[in-house]
Amino acid sequence: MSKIDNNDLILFQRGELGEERKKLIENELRSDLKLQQELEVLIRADTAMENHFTNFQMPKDFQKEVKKKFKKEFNFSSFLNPKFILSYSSGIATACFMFVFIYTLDPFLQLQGQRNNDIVVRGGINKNLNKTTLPQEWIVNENLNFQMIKFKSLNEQGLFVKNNESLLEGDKVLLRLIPLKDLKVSFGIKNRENSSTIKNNFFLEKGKEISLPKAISPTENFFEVKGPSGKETFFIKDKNNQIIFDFTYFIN
Amino acid sequence: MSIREQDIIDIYPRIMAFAFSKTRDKQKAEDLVQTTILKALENKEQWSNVKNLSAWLITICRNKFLDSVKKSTEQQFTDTTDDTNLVSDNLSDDGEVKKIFEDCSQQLEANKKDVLFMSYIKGITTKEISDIIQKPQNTVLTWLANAKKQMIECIEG
Repeated sequence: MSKIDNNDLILFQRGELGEERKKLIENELRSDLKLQQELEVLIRADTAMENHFTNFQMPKDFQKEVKKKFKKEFNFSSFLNPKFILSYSSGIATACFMFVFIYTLDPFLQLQGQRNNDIVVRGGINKNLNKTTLPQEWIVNENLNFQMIKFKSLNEQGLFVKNNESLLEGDKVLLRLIPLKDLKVSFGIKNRENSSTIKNNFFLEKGKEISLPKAISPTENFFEVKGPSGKETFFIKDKNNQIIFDFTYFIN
Repeated sequence: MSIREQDIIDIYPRIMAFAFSKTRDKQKAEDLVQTTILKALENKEQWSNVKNLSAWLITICRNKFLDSVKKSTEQQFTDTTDDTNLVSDNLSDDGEVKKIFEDCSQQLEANKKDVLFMSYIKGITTKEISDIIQKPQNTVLTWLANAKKQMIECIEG
């Protein structure tokens, strides 16, 4: 008992001792009978106290009152609290910034915006076409959005032509383009090994939809598919004569 | 810190025991503890500054009791009454063991009794008790050890 006093035993009981001191007391307790008896008295006191606490459970009516205090109160006027406005306005500002940032990068979002926003200039699109007959699918790359649409007649629903799809000689097609940036381009066709240019030095304005052939030949609404049969590729080259987009189909 | 409803329910019996040891009247102890808890719950802006819920509540409770003692003319609460009938009246269903316990606890000096009851409030350390009562930790430990021994000698004696 020389090294350990009652204060140590209290701290030991309460788990407030460091590891080293705790081990020392555990060792002493194994051999020191008087220390064991001291600890036993403290434990009996704990038991008596714990029994005493069972007399004081929280009454049910007060429990209800406490519960009420924890219920979240909705107060509409809190939205007008300057602190609250500050707390959400920064979040809204961040969200707007992120949207603008992603919008500038993501052609799908731009495309969606252009489809749904009448303010967007739709300069070259054939005015005779009923927009509702135009398909909604688009081919998208980093430079532009593209559609080849096949018509049997003006009154029919236009059909979206997929890459490597087959066309019949005599089919009428138009091409729709929405550039994602300002570009000076040339349009051309490659059939087998023969390339031909449709239009050189054509300026594509970012976000302004055009349709071909209308944009280059205002009296023409459609291209008519002609032979020779086989694989044909429509391509767009930039001002450095690099192909920035191509679209392949097969003529039967 | 965040305070949960269950924390309050868990801590209630021990704060009540502390308050009862001070007031020796169950109704007064309940009033004291319940006003303490409601005050704490209403001051939500202070929750973030609270490091230990038990220590915070016991400090509020103790201060409320001391305030009431100062208002001696009102005699709302008393720590020194010898009217032990209050105990038995308010714990009418309690048995002999409980009455003995109450009698024994009333024989403790006020400081020892405070330390004893505070020490059973969960989450409170002897260092925090020493901060609340503004006495050295060693004094708290000595009073606590003595109080426990005295209680057992009285109850079993």
